[in-house]
Amino acid sequence: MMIDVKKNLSGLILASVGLLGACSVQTSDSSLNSMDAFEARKAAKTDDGSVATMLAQPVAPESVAVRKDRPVVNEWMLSVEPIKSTFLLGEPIVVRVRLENVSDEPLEVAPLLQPEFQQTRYTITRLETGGSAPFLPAARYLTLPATHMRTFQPGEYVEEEVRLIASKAGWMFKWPGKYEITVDFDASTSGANLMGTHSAIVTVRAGNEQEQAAGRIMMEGEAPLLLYWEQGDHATDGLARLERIIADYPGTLHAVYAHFALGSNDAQPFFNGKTTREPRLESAIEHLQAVRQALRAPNAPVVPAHMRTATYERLADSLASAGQVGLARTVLDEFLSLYADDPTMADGVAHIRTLRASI
Amino acid sequence: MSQHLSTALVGAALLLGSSALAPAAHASLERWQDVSFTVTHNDGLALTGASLDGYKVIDTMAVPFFVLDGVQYELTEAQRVSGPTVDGASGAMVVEATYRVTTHLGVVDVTVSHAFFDQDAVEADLAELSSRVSFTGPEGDYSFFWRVDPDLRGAAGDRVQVYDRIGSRGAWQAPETEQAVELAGALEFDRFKVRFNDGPDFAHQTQLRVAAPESGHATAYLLANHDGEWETLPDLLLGGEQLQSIQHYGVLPQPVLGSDMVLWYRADVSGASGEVGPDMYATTVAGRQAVIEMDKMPSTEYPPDVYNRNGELLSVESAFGKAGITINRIFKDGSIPDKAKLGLAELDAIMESSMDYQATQDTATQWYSWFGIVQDFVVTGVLGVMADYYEYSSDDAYREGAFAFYVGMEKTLPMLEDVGYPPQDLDLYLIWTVTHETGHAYNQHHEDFWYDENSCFYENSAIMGYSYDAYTLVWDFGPNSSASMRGGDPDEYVRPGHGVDFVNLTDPFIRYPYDTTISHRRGHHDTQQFTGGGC
Repeated sequence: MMIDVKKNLSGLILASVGLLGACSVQTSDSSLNSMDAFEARKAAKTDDGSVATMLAQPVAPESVAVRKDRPVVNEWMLSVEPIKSTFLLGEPIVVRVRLENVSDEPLEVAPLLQPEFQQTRYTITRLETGGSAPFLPAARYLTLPATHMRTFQPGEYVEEEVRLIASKAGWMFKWPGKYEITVDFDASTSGANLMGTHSAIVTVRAGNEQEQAAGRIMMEGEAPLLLYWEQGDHATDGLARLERIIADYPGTLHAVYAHFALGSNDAQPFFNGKTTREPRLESAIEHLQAVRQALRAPNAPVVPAHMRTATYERLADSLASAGQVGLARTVLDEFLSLYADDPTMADGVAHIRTLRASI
Repeated sequence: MSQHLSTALVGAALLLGSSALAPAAHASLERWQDVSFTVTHNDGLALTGASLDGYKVIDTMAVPFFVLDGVQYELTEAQRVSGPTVDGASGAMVVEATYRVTTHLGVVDVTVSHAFFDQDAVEADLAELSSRVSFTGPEGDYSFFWRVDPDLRGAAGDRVQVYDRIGSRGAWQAPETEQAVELAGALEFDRFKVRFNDGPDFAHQTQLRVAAPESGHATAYLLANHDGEWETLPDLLLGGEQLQSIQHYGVLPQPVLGSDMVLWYRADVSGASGEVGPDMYATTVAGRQAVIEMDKMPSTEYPPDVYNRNGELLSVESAFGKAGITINRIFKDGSIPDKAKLGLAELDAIMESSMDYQATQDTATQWYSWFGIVQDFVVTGVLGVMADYYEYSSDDAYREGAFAFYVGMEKTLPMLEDVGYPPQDLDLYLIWTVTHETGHAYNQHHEDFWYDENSCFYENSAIMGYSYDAYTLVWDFGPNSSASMRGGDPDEYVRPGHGVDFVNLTDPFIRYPYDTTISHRRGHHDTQQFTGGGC
């Protein structure tokens, strides 16, 4: 039984919606520890054989400098799991990364799992060629790890969605085939790699002719930036690409992502350095309703938890701002009915519940 | 919109603090060679010259005159009673000569010494020249005059700058005319107020900076090289007016080319004995000249020019200076409207709309980046962002600039106190963030935290590291980043806003053929995790 203790990381979850993806901190009881639960979920998703999540054992440090004022980190489990086994070419690759205290003692760490902090490193290997390269995000953050430091009780973990979308080099998963995603997390004060290496394999499939064409548009120019930023009036190249996907390939999953990025941009004010453009409610509602339709369909595509939450939140905000408060409530209620029992949506459900109570 | 300009000097933060406070010297500054010197004579006067790294730094330096109670006396062969001697036993090469002058008040014994300290004796990237006069004689008002001809690689290429205030900020400026510069109390900016620059290009630049430590009565005179001044003191030094114009050009305080400048230094002292004289520091730098255009929101503040961290002076300029880049900052008065909770796309838009100087200041010999001080970011706890790594952007440029979050810092620093840290000074974090994030614009990474064997990622790290707090930072980019920025990596690898694609955009899994410095291989290509130091 999973127990969500709602230990949000310094407001990181809500503050970062749209940027960092979903994140949760949870504990597990002794009868089914969280690693078992994670393994169970992993196993359920590897039935088709296309995903193999390798959970290496923590690497025992050969030497750990024990310092009175620094955490000693030696009993952590880092794991990575894609949100689904197979992605379409040009579909954002998103993984869930989990850092868990598997020791018998409380341990401290600054769980900076997002690649922008450059403390957790993501390496992509194209298995067909063997070529590998780091995923270098389009932005780098400077933070003070001490302000993120927190104590994890035995069995407690943090889990976050990580979007591998806009690397410095653009779209990295640009060919059909299998890719290995390797994660390194450095929890030490010394920089020694105490956490070991953990990886998962994802498959990228080409899709049909329409999907291939849409995917090619999605992977080029500023389209990945729009998916990454979820706003950007000035990124005219990216906006045009997304609109073209919607116009020319409306039935593809890529069009759902395009609707999401464009709807998110329209739903939010945008400051261009000189003036602030207010939300374009009509357009936002139109785009986000399209995403909502896809998400509540019987064969709804598996998309990131953050995308689901943000779609409903931004749609409800836009509807409420447009005076359609009743419909806004209906949208939020729909979200709760769809995802209340989904453990991967726990943070989103909590957030939407709060939002629902305020409308 | 009014704008003001600021330029600062290379490596200056090292200078004021005692050597005990300064970071330990490292050996990565490979352009340095020991100072070599020459002694020639002019009518018995010992003229000392200095060369550094194979290039002339000082053509001649001497103390040709002194004035006692308004009467001028020369130091010539007739008065020389000993020396010049050359002694290297005291840790410096010292050229010394003693003169005995009969004045209208009595006999005055004057000993002139020029002490050259090589970089091992003082600092890693500076060579110090301390010139001193010690005298004994009748009670009176003495003025001693040094004449220094800093012919840095040629008499016609001297370029001189003076540090002064423009509005509320300090700035290096090219003087319009000959002038006198009071050095006393010049602790405002890394204690230097005068500097000479020269070099055949920005990649081979030499600087000579002048300080007046412990002096309340020193004046530097920047004069053109006048004929006959070995025989007669220039009028200006005695209070007269002799204000010849100085050639200069450019919007920024660009050094002057084509002028032959001479530095006179005057020290006044009253009494029957004493010791006075200037300290001068010479450096050769890899010599990249760069501009940072600074803009901000009205509700935020720029970092101070210099931050005094327990006696060690930190500045953006000193950090980059040690990496071989002379930074000129252009400060705008805050043209970005206030706006809270900015997202990455908004940051990108702000930068694109605010780079007013890029068109005129971004050249092959003068690099350019932009920096914005804004309120806060949508992600809690982030001090700064370099949000421009994407190589596919429509303007085909990346690493053009970065941001610091002023309000974000105000909120974050108390969080440090919550976990047991003492009160933190926002100005220190502002300077660090500007320097760190601009380091990203210069293609440096968090992996470049290594400074020496004491460095940890979280403690005693170089500027690109993730220090637990800014008080444990080593104010240095570290040897790997310094080597990269000062020319170890190709220009297009380092230059902000430019550069070839260091990943293959057609196939990101094909490595760029250039073999970068070790730390940058980690940042760009390798899967190898950080390697730490002495933690």
